[in-house]
Amino acid sequence: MKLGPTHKRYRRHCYALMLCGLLGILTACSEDKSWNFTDISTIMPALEFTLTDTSGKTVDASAYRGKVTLLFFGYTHCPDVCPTTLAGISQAIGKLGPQADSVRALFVTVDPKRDKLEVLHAYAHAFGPQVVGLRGTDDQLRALAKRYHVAYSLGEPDKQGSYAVTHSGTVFIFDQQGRARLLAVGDNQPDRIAHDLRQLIEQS
Amino acid sequence: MQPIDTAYSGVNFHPRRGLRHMHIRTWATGIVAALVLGSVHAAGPSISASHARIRLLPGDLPLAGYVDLTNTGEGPLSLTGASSPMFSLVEFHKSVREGGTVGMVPVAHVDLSPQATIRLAPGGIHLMLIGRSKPLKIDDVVPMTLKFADGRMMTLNFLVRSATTQ
Repeated sequence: MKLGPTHKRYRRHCYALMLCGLLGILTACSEDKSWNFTDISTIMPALEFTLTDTSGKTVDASAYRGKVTLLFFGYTHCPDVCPTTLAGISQAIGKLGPQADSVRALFVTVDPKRDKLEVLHAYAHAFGPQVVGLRGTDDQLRALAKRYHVAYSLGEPDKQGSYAVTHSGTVFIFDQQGRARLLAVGDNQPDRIAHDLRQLIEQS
Repeated sequence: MQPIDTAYSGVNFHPRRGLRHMHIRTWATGIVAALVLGSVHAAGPSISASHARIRLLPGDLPLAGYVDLTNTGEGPLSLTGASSPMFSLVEFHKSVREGGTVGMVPVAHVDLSPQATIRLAPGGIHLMLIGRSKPLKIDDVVPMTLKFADGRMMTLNFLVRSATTQ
């Protein structure tokens, strides 16, 4: 059957509509991601800091552009919550396979007096090559804590010189452009962490 | 501290089996526990234990010890202390989360009502192990003596596991 000009136009419209529909579905899929952790993209600022890494070099946030970056505050004399959090992150990174190198976890000590670079390096390294120990001056640490509204405090030393530390139990997650994206509080399940990290990596 | 359904430890340690023995011969519970666990050195309180482990950190940093304990006896038990030849000091600590902030507080005693299971687990009550008497490595076995309010004691073997275990 020979089609008239009206039919041809109609068929073109159909194709165009189908294409729109397909694009719509694809767009909807990419936007309709479900996240395990809390969206902080509109309430927290981009990753920004100046600290010292465990090789003694001054680093700022630009060193981690291109990586999905997790930020966690703790101290090495913390035997329970800090290693539990870092172990969860470490196992999650392990589940990412070749994408693991797209992630860095920054462990910022709130106890720089005890956490000399050597101790901090060994501690961070115990959780894998993607975990980075960072240390700052009091002013640098204060500025960073203020930026992300996290609290920390050091208690009075006892007879042995040991003291209690309170710190934020929150993990902040930034995308590869350094934008604040997600916040995880006390959830150390590797599968759930890996799920969100994978989505962030694939989004960039 | 959260008493947990005994079914959790039942999967691994058959507390019911221990219980049946106990009804027949109370004196034998320690031995039964030893047979079930393979890690109890001396007859002590009616306790079954599982998942006794230490998470290794580098240097001489304090470590956390974790274990699931079930009171398989008929009376309440109160765990008041612990010691190990591998550490100069062992204390019970509890991680406390308030708002977005976490800290640790000392715990004077850990109470176990009859048939209750308590998990000394990450993010809660744990053994805080301070001052290693020699370097530790993964898969080392560390004896730990638990002391109870009634003066009884029991020694468990804790397995040293890597930092990345939860």
